[in-house]
Amino acid sequence: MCAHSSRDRLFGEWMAAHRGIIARVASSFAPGEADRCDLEQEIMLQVWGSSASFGGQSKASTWIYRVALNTALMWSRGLGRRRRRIDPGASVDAVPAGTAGPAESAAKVDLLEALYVAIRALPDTDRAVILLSLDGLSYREMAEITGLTENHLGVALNRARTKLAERLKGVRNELE
Amino acid sequence: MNWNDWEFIWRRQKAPVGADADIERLKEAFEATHRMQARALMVRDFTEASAGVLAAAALGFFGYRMGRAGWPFVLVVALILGVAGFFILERFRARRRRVGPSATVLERVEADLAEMRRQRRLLMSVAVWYIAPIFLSEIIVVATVGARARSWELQRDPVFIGGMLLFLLIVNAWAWHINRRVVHKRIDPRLAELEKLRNELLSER
Repeated sequence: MCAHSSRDRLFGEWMAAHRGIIARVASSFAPGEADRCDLEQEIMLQVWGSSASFGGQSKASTWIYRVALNTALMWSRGLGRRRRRIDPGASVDAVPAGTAGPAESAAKVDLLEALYVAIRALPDTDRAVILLSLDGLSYREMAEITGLTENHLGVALNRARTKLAERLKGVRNELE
Repeated sequence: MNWNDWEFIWRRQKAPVGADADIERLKEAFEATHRMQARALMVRDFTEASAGVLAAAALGFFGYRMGRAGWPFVLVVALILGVAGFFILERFRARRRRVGPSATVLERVEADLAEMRRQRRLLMSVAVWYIAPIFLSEIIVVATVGARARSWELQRDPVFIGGMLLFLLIVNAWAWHINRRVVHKRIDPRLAELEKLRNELLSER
């Protein structure tokens, strides 16, 4: 009973502090609203399931990133098998709900939407490192999550950024 | 726009309010999934183990009823139990090698790759560890029963024995073919996918 309530408390704290990680990972891997919700639920389920074995050796955010990325990569491979769907391009559904606050301009939302669409078009591994980089993680933290060396990460990140830049080229002009 | 602009846009996004983190609902879903998986695993292991044990028991009993002439059935029972034991052993090995949900991305990819390679190896060598012992035990049964039958009985008829062996050969060849097909249609594409993922992760360029 006690173990259960402390697990509930831990999970509640994780969700309060790191809920955004789950949403951003889900939005970067799942193309539509329904898929995104489905993946978010799956990640939360896995995070909840893994919370019992969390020993505090790593930071909670590192742990959640690992679980989220592993779940998303597995989900992405499964999705590929189930229905190889091509992202039809920018759609409002593809943007995480609540990303656009009332004060935000439509252009900002469109740019964020374009960024998500471009990220989803990247190969899975590039997507993962770009996501970590955009979230502002250090190379050391990224290495802890991916299991790659910092040298490898540098190479992977450069490659992913180049691909992303290619995809985002001219986005501003299109939106204006 | 440069990278810093995109980073700025990314970090300005608000915490999304997508699916709720309802702990009670998650707990229920987790426990239901856990129970379902545990039940499915237990049923599968039990079916695999009990099918072998039941077949071995039935054939052992049949051999026992034949008296001294039924001694080759000891080999049949040993072969069937050997296959069933191998099945169970492989299941436990696979479960021991599984990595937790919080493994690093590379560890998870490597573990999935190892599991897929193990499955491929098992299916490619199915003729050795499954089909050959089962086919051998079937031949022993046909030969033992035929040898004990009287000269006018069907079991001793060379045409019947030849037909029976041909039938068993076709069934076992079909089983071999199905396993090969699974490797080429399902395992190889997944393996290629995982290898691509791993190579992308470890790419130097």
